[in-house]
Amino acid sequence: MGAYTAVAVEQRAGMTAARRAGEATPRQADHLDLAAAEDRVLVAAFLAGSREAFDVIVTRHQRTVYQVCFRFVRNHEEASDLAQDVFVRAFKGLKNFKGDSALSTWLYRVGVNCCLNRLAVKRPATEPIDSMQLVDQRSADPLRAVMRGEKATEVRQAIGQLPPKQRATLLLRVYQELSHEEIAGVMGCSVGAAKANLFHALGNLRRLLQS
Amino acid sequence: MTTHLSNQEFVDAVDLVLASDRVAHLTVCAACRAEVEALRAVLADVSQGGDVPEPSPLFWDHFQSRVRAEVQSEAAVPARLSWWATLGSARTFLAAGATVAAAVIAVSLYTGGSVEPGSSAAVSVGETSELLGPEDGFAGLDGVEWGFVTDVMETLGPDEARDVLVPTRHAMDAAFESLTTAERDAFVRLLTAEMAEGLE
Repeated sequence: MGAYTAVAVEQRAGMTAARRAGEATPRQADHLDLAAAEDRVLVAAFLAGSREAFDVIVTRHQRTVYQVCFRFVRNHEEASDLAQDVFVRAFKGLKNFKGDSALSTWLYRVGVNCCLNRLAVKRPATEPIDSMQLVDQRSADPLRAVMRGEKATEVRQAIGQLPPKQRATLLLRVYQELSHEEIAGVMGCSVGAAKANLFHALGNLRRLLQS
Repeated sequence: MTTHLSNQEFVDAVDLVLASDRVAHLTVCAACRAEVEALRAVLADVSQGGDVPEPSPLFWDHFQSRVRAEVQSEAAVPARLSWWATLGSARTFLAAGATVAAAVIAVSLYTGGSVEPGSSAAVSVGETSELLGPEDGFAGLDGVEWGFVTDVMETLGPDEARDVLVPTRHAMDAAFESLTTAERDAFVRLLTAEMAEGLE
């Protein structure tokens, strides 16, 4: 019995809902061009029992999810473990995805929760020395490149000292370029609180970088 | 003079979406302007520190395989049961155990194990007692074995007992399916031992 079959019982409710909404049934999902399908179609196909739809979701979003996780932990192994955890949780929780936001926003939410949980139980990892020295010595201005690399390391270390929610807000805003509304959705707070978090994150960073 | 910008308004100012009346304040308030500039400078610094090294191209294939395997293993772990569900599960297990016991008995009898009428055959098993008797061949059990069977039978209703005593192929399959790997191993060992004993 396949794993996807084993959870089919859990997905019946979602499948019924998908059929009611006129979305893809398993038989229809077979004929969909899943790789080109929109996320909402993939979700409906997955809830209707298509395991290929979930594979496409993973393929489509794995890089973004991995990057979010990496920016939290600055470590490839941990980031890949976290990203894997995000998709396993997504697999189990997609039936609860209501489609109010984009799938990517929902995955961000799952990812940030995974990362915050990890940070809550684990000391923040220090950045490995080799990643601090990844400077191309052949560049036109090696000295400048070294200085830029050092600055980047300083910034990353300072970000690593921020309180988790401030860090999450900053990462989502600056690197993932989410709007304040999307960040509020991911963090489960008001837009005002998201902006306040960002303001405090920047203020704390300024102090950390000056010290 | 108007009040200084709030935290949220500072963020709006950095994003260049500050309300026009507050922009008017910003133009005349050096302190707020300095704060906005400082925030922009920090943002510029932050943007330098966001590089994520690109993993090997092979990583993504490997990653997808890992996710698939993890999902499969997660799906194989039964969901945590509530206490009433646990009770139901225990009852199912008990019925399965009784079915297995009946199978063992049947194998024992089929393989011609030593069958001596035992006095314990007459032990009352409540409503199921009329289903049993020495003519059914259960008399070959010793006291301990018979005690186990009667203990199990006493916990079952008449229908369940009938299912146990006259198990259908489907019921046997279902009972076996409900066992854990360890229980299946134990069952196979028991069955093998019984069959070996019967062949001696």
